[in-house]
Amino acid sequence: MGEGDEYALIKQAQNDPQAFGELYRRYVNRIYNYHYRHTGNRADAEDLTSQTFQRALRYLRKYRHRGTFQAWLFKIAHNLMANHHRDRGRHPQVTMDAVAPLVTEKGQPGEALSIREETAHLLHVISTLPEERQTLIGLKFVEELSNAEIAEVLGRTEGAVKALYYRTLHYLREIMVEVESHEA
Amino acid sequence: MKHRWETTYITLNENRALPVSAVEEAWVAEAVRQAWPPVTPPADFVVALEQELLQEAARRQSIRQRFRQLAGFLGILGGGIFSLVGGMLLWRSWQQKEAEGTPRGNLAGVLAPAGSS
Repeated sequence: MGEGDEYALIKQAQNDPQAFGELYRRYVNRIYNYHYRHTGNRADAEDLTSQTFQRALRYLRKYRHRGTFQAWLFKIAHNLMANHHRDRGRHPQVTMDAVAPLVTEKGQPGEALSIREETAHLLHVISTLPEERQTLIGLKFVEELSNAEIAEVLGRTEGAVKALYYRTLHYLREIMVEVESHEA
Repeated sequence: MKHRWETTYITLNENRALPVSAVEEAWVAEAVRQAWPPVTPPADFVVALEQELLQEAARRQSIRQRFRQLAGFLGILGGGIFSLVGGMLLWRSWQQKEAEGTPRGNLAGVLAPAGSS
């Protein structure tokens, strides 16, 4: 479905509950994933997902088509998540517990292990990044949002997001190169 | 006089880092995706929340409809009252002028030839 079709659906959802159900079904998995990644438990993820859609429903009539709907929805999710962590007095940390095993079908076992170690190390480094950079990495690579959309979610300019993204990549590369040189 | 140390210089490309290649970027992206595999929300939660949201949406829709109806009714009522009060005031004003015997509204006074009284 194109952007224009989605806008038509949003306009319809402003007056028709069934159309809102269609929007909900389209985004519920991604919003749940986002909250699960940042809270690390299902109960909080469910609670925050529910709050996100309740708030979206409440403010849908005020929605203006400037960016994209998904950026608007992720912004709501991001703000709720920030409030959630603030209320609990801790900073949001992207959970790295669920590191999936990396299986290389063609490579040697030793090679697979090396890749796994390298990836595990990279993920550990990402987990030590400031919260905003972790969120940026998640939105960019997992949710596949554009820089403009991430800028809307984080409340920054697109240029600032680009700069932050490349700084983060440079930093990650430097750390990984350092690790490789120690291992060699 | 401006001292040299008062000037702030911005150093561009401070660490002279090479640009991150597309391969490196893709590697980070892939590692992150593998670390965060999609988690599917429980089906009963998804269904229950959808029902809750649809009920809430229907409730809001109903409130909006009732509000529109009430606003329409109040508009008609207000317009009616305004017309009635306005009409009464005009009539009263006309009556007062009539009682004072001003030439306005009194055709006899206007039509009577000068000096005939």
